[in-house]
Amino acid sequence: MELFPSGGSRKPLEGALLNQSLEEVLLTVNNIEVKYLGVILVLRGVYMEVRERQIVSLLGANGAGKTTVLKAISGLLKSEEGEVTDGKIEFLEERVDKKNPEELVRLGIIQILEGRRVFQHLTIEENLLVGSTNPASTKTDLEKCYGYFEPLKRMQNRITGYLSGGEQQMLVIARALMARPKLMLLDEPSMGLAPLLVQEIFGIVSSLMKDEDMSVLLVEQNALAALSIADYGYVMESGKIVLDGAANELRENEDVKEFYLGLSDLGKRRSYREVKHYKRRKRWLG
Amino acid sequence: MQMILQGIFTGLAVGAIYGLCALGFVIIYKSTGILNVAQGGLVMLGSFLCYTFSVTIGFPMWLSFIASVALAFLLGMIIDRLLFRPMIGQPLLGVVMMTIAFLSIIEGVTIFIWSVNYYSYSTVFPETPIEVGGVIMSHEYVWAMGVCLFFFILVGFFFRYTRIGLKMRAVSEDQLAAQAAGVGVKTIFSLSWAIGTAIAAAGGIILGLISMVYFGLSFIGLKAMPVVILGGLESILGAILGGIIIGVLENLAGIYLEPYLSGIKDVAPFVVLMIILIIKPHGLFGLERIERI
Repeated sequence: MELFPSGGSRKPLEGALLNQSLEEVLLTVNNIEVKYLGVILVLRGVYMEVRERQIVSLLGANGAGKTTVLKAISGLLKSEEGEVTDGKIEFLEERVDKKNPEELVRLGIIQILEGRRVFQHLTIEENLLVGSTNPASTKTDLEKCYGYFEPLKRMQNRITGYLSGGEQQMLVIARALMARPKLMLLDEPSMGLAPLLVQEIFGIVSSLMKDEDMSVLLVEQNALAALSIADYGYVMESGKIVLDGAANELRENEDVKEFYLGLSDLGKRRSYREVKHYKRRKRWLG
Repeated sequence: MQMILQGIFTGLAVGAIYGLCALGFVIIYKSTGILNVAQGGLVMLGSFLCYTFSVTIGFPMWLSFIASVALAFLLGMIIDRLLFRPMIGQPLLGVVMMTIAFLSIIEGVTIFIWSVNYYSYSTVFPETPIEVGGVIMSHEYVWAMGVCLFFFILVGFFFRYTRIGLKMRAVSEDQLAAQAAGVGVKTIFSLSWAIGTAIAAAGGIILGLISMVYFGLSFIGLKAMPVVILGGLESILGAILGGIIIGVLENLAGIYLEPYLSGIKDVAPFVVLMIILIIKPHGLFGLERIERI
C-alpha cells in the first residue's frame, strides 16, 4: 500500500473497496471539492464512506479541513458562505449536498459542533426539547437520553451554562440523539476534557452505535482514543484525504504513529521538533 | 397622596404601553440580532391601520384591532422575506441602515396615504371615568392596561411553554448550534418579525386610543429604545418592567418636578437610565454571557 501518493488524491473506489464491512453503505462522499466565498478552495477530492453501525474516525492536524468535511455533509457550510462545488454526497442513495441542515436532520444526519455549544440560559430539559424533531415521541426520546446519560436526569431543571465541560458534552450528544439520527457527525468531543471523561463519553458513543443502530463519523485530535473505538479511519492533510484504512491497521501504521500518535517505532514518545521535521520532510517527498 | 396615586396609575398605563412597544423590539432583536430602528414607525402604522378599519371602513373597534394586528403579522413576514432575509450574515451597520431606510419609507407612505393630520377613533368607551379611592381612571387607560397585560401573558406563555417559542429562545442563544440541531432558523426569523410587528401594531392602536392617531406616535414608539436598554436587550421581563418604570417615572416627574424644572418630564427617564446603566451595564435583566470553560 503506497502511502501519501504523489499529486492529487486517490480514486474514491480504492478507498471504498478498503472499507470491507458487511453492513450497507449509509453515506458516500464522492470526490468533493469545497470552496468558501466561491474562491477559497479548502477541500479537494475528499472521498469517504460510512456504513451502517460503524464508527469512522477522521484524523488530521489543525486546519486540515476536518470540520469543513463535517459541515459539507450536514449542510451547515451554506450558512458560512461555503459550497460543495464539485463531486457529490449521497446518503441512503439520495443526493444530499444541496439540502439545508434542517432537511438533513430530518433525514437522519446530525452534526454536533465542536466546543460544546449548549444553549446556556436554557435548562437541560429545554436543551433536549430543542433537539426533538418529532413531538409524538418526545417523551420516550427524553427517557432514552436520560438512560444513556444518567447525570443529566438529576439536573434536568438546571441552567446549562454552569455545567461542567463533561456534562455539557454529554448534553450536546443527548440533544443530537433526540432527533433519532442515523448518522452522527461528532466534532472533537474530547476537547479539553479529562482522559477519564473522554473514555466514558467514547464508551457511551460506542454503545449508542450498537443499541441505536447509528453510525458515527468522529473528528478527533486525540487520535489514539479515536482509533480505539473506530472501525475505520481516514487521515486528512491540507484539504485532502492522504490515507485510509481499518482502524487497527492505522494504529500500526508508521506514519500515523509518527504524526498523530507521537510515537516512534520503538514505542517511545518523541519531541515535537523531531516529529515536525519528519512530517515536513515526508510532505515534501510526497 | 391622591396625587401620587393618580400619577402612579397614569404612569402604569402609559408604561405598560411603552413596555408593549419595547416587547416587539426585543422579540425581533433576540432572535434575529437586528436592532430595529423602524419599530416606532411600525407602532404608528398600526394605529393608522386600525383607524382605517374602524373609521373609514366602519368595522367595530374590537374587529378593527384584530384585523390590524393580523395584517401587521403578515406585514412582518413580508418585511423579513423582502428586506432582511438577503441581509443575513451582513455587518450590523448595514442591517441597521436598512431599518433606518425602512423607517423613512413607512413615514413617507403614511404621510402619502393619511397626510399629517390628527385623527381619533370613534369613542367606544363611556365618557364617565371610573373612580377608585379618589383615583380617577378613564376607561381607555384601564383597557390599555388590560390589553397590555393580556399580551404580556400571551408572549410569556408562548416563550415558556410552546415548542416553537423554545426554538426561538434557542436561536437567540446560538444560531449555528440551533441550526445544527435541526431548527429552521429562517422560519424562526420570519415568525419573530411577524410577532414583533404585530405587537408593535397593538401598542400603536392602544397609544392612538389614549391620545390621538397621528404622525408623532412614531417618536413615542421609539421610547421603546431606552426602555429596552433599561430592561436589558434580551429580556422580555426587562422590556415589560422597564416600560412600567419609565412610564411611572415620567409621570411622577411631570407632576412633582415640572413646576420647578420645565421639561424634566422627558429627561427624568434618561437620567435614571444612565444611572442604572452605570451600575448594571447589561440593563436590569440583561443576560450576561456565562463564562465557563
